[in-house]
Amino acid sequence: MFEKFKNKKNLMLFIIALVILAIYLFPVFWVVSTSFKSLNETMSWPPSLIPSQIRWQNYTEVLESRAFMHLKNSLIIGASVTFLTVFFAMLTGYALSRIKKKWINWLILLFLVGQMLPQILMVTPLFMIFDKMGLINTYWAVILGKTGIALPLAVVFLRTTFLSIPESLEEAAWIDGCSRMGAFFRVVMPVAKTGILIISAITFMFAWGDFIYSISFISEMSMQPATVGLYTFIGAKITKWNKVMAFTNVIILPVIIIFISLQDKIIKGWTAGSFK
Amino acid sequence: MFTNIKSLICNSKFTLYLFLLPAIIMVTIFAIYPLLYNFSLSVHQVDSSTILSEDRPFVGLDNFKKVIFDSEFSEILKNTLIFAFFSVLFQFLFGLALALFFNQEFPFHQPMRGLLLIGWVIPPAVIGTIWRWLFNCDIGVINYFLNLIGIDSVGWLVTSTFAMSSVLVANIWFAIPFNMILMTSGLVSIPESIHDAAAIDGTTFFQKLWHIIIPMIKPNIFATIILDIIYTFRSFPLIWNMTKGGPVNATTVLPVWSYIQSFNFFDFGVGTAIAVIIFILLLVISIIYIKFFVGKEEGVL
Repeated sequence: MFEKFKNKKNLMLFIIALVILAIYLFPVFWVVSTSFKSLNETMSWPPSLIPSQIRWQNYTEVLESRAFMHLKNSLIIGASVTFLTVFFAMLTGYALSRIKKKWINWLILLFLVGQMLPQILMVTPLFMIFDKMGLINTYWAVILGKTGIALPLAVVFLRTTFLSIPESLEEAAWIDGCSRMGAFFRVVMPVAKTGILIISAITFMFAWGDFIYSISFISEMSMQPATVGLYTFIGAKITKWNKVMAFTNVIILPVIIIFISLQDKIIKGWTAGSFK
Repeated sequence: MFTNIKSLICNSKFTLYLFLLPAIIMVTIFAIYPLLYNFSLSVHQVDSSTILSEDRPFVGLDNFKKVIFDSEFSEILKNTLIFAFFSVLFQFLFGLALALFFNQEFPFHQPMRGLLLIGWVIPPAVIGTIWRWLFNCDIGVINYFLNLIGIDSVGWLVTSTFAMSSVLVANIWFAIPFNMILMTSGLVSIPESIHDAAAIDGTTFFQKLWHIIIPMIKPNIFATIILDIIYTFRSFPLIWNMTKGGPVNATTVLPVWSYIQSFNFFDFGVGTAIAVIIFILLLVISIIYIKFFVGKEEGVL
């Protein structure tokens, strides 16, 4: 591996890449750096780039006071949206991949357009609908709204996954006497499990980051997810940036870990969702 | 006899059509119906006095008139166009440049490109908070760096002139990875032989970029820019967490304005009228996108 660095051009490109990374990732570095400083050090001028002392208490204090509660809410919302979205998208994506009729194309087009809709267009009417249904100030309002908007990408993505699975595989299972539903769960799903995993990760990250629906439908602080919790936390304690950054870090860490561990596959999912 | 019935159930398309329903029902109820309901709300008087009652007076296009003749409308529309234009321009140029750079062979080029994508997975609301801290005018690190090279501190988020640049920087930072991925997927589709041929001809990098690479990835470029435009209208959480549209209206774009009208002033009629205007803008852009891109790629239409 290190042989390659003997080539001068390789070395130069590598160094430029390091500089680009350092500049681009500086904001993330600054979140981590600030999150470990004491309040005094955070407020001092000029700022120190690296904390003089690592202060873990910022994390324990912010988690105990509020962040833990908000993260739990984010997890409830994120897991529920992911489960509903992936389950429904599997069924519909499978049907779309197997029905060979002209009008199916129109349905696919509907989902393609659906994935581009900004939530700001739906938030006011959904608020009124959920208000009528008595769902304001429940997790359900955010979960159902978010599922509605997460589904199109999941359907388009899983349809492509199922298209790559040969139908002969299921047909063999039908002959053995199991129904289409049985064949779907026992034969098709196991083959498609990588695709299902990727779309689950993408959907979870999307739901984890929700802000508009959560801030509009849930006014009860103890039920708000972390993104909204962070927003109100700053309102209350504008000067304690070290704790704000500790809070920020515990919100972004889970999605960064998910992303890094599934990186190559997630990138393929994004590209497919945008271009197909 | 029994085997006949069984095989009928097995082979019937019934189950398949049943499978079609779940996502269609969910998307219809929680995305399409609200979208249509938007139109209905935008032509009714829906404010704090009528929100709870069943009969809300029909007001025709009054809400739209209120929006368009509002003294703030022209400034907000201008902000929206400036925000969209510069966001798309810079996120695309940086995305393309980085895609070209990391498409070269050098040690660790792939994992390093992967790390650059981190910006895209951070929730936009949180990105707003992170940049609010970086742009802090008293103790922010960006002013510190400016001081180091001899420039005076700037009141980034508190002065109208600089607030727009600040939210633009944050939004561009967020969207660069997305542009980079889409451009990379175009670049890797260019056959190696074309690069080799260009190398033999002794073309310079910019000649190659202009005459070979860009024409070959034109469809990707087009699709990326359209998606960029559409996605800039999703930027409510980022702006809201950074500036709340302020100071005064300096960073208020149409989505922010719509939200303020609905959830701060409880004038849902005006809020939804602004949403309808956004929808029409997006519809025009989406039609261009579908007409020129999706249909051809997928062979759908």
